[in-house]
Amino acid sequence: MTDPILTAHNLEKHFGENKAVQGVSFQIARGEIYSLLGPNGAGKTTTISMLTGLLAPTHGDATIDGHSVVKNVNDVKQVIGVVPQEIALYPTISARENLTFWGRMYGLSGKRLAQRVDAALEIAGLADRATDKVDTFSGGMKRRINIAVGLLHEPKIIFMDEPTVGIDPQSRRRILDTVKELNAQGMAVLYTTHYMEEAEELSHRIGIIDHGQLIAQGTLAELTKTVGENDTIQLTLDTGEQAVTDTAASVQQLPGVAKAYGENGHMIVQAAHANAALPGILSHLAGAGVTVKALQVQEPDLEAVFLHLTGRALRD
Amino acid sequence: MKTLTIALKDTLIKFRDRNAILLMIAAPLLISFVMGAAFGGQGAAASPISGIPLIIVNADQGELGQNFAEIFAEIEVDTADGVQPLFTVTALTSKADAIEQVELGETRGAVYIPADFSAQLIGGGDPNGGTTPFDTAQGKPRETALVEVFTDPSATVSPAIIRSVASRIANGFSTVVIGNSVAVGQLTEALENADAPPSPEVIANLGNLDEILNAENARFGETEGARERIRVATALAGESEDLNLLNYFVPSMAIFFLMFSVFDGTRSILAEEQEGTLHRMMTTPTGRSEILLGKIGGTFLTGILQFVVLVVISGLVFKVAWGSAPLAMALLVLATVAAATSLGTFVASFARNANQANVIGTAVTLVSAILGGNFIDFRALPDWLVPVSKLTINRWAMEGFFNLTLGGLGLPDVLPNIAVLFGLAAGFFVLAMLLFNRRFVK
Repeated sequence: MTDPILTAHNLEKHFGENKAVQGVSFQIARGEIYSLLGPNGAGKTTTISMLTGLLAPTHGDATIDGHSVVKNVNDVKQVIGVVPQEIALYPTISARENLTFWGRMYGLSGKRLAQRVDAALEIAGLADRATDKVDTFSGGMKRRINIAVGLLHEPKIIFMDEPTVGIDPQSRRRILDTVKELNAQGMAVLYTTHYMEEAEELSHRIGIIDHGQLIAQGTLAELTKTVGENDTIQLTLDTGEQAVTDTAASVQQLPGVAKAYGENGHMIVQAAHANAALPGILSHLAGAGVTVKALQVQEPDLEAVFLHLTGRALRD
Repeated sequence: MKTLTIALKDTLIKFRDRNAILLMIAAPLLISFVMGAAFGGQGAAASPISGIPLIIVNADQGELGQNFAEIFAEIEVDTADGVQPLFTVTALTSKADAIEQVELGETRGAVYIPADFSAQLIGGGDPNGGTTPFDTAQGKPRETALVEVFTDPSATVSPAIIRSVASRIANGFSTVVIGNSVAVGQLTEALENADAPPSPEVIANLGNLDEILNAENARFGETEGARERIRVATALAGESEDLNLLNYFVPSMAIFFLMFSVFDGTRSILAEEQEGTLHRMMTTPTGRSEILLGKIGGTFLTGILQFVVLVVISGLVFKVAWGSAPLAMALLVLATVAAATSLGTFVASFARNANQANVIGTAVTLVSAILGGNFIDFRALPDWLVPVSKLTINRWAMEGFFNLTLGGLGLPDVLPNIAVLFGLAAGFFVLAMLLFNRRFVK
């Protein structure tokens, strides 16, 4: 990658015996959205904390726009915007007062401060509520102001740590659209989430993190290739485990079926196109006198990738 | 600049919070008012207390001792029932009997005027030199006449009044006596130096004795301290405004609730840590020391504003007299708020979280208030607790404010209090910075 905005090299953070982050290395290009996907406790927030100067790395370093987070953290803070996981606002003062305060903390003043506060209120869609106290806002509105704070000084890269946690679908949609708009204007984004659909929708590239280690990274297509290109059909039958295995052997002979086998009492069928193969499978099972109690189709996605890499579902 | 931004933000948040306003402003005024009313009156012009039982033991055969004793009996105050004597004075001849009466609770206090009271003030001197005041007329150090005051340790308010009145009478009294004795000394000197019978000039001087005395009194009155002492003594003899009990309760409650609000302010460092705003500040191009100083500065600024508002409102509404030494008052307020802020910051620096800081802060506030004299006169504490009392901010602040409000004293009299409070502020501040530095660098 030529001239990346961010390069993390072998970042590690230890808290006593606990190795929260181990050997994490990745790059983010200018204007790229990079998502760190992983379950709660995987090390996403610790990684962001090291990149934003909140925590000093135990080992390793990262450069952001050419500045080391270890040696020149104050220079780093000039070019980054941070949207923390929690609503880091003052609830008893207004949205405008909050933005003005945070603008000053980023070194803005005078006319530029006023202009940037107005612009941030527009981005949040809350210009008409500017003088209302933040504690009168809904959760989604607070999230939007929370994001707007991170944009006040027009950073080159913004770090967004699970910005959609605990909000309604409408606000979530708005936040995702905002991220896309910011990126369209050229801003690089490091986005952490444990929602695979958000990572899939937003990201140019995705890093999968688990137990403090970056276990895979690439584009969505590159990652899903690791689990093959077949759809997976999981069938729950009314038979015993041995009968499932026997039935799977017969299903594997059907047209369109790449592979069928028993697993944990379920029958797993892999097919290039689940929709095309399903009628034949269900007909065959009915003819054999087997009743299907439940059925689930999974296309190759990040959930499958995570399952493939860790042996666990992302939401476990 | 960012430090000021943070401080102003915190001050704005505090004064927007109705609960905080209740705690900072309304509660101390309301409780002072209720306590004032509980003692029989709350009006600005009427003293809620009169007829305080007082024993005077005058062992002095001279005129000055008699005068000193009589002033107590002559002080009158306006009460709801009209003009009444402030003290119900009983004369005894035995100091031991007087102390016993106080200990038995038969009287609220006793004043002992020593046998050499007049002699020391008029003609006495310290042949061995030393640090006692120097009598320029006599050309030798002046001995101090020691008036002893004994008060009922179980009483809350009357001991402070008795001590305050005794102190004011003594201050004003001694100033006048010093002035007059200087004038007389000058005449004596002129007569002793004459080889022949008194010259016409000396005789003329004797004829102008009143004029000389007045001139000397005026000269002594030109110094700030003396002028203040004479004025205060005069006010006590004829007016009642300085005996408004709220002069005792408002400073006491102001200090007590200042501690609460200051602890709440410094606790907000930990609250911001929990709520994420502190960490967000740390991701901005702002130094950690700037952030910490801003947080502490906000608490300090809030405390100053709280005290100023209390002084203004209590002065306007309750006619509380905050003394006549504005510089001393300003410095004492600054020192008290600085010490309280530093103590609160120190507690926050080692508390695990905001809740723990709240618990520790409340405990420290209550214990300090008890030991420091917010609820009972710190001079009434058992001897073994007095040194402990001196470890509290409240005690030094209370004593300073009472010296200004009840004692009518000036800056030199409260400088030790101010110095100790600033010293405590500096000590706690350094400790807090060291601990916070360890806490924030991860």
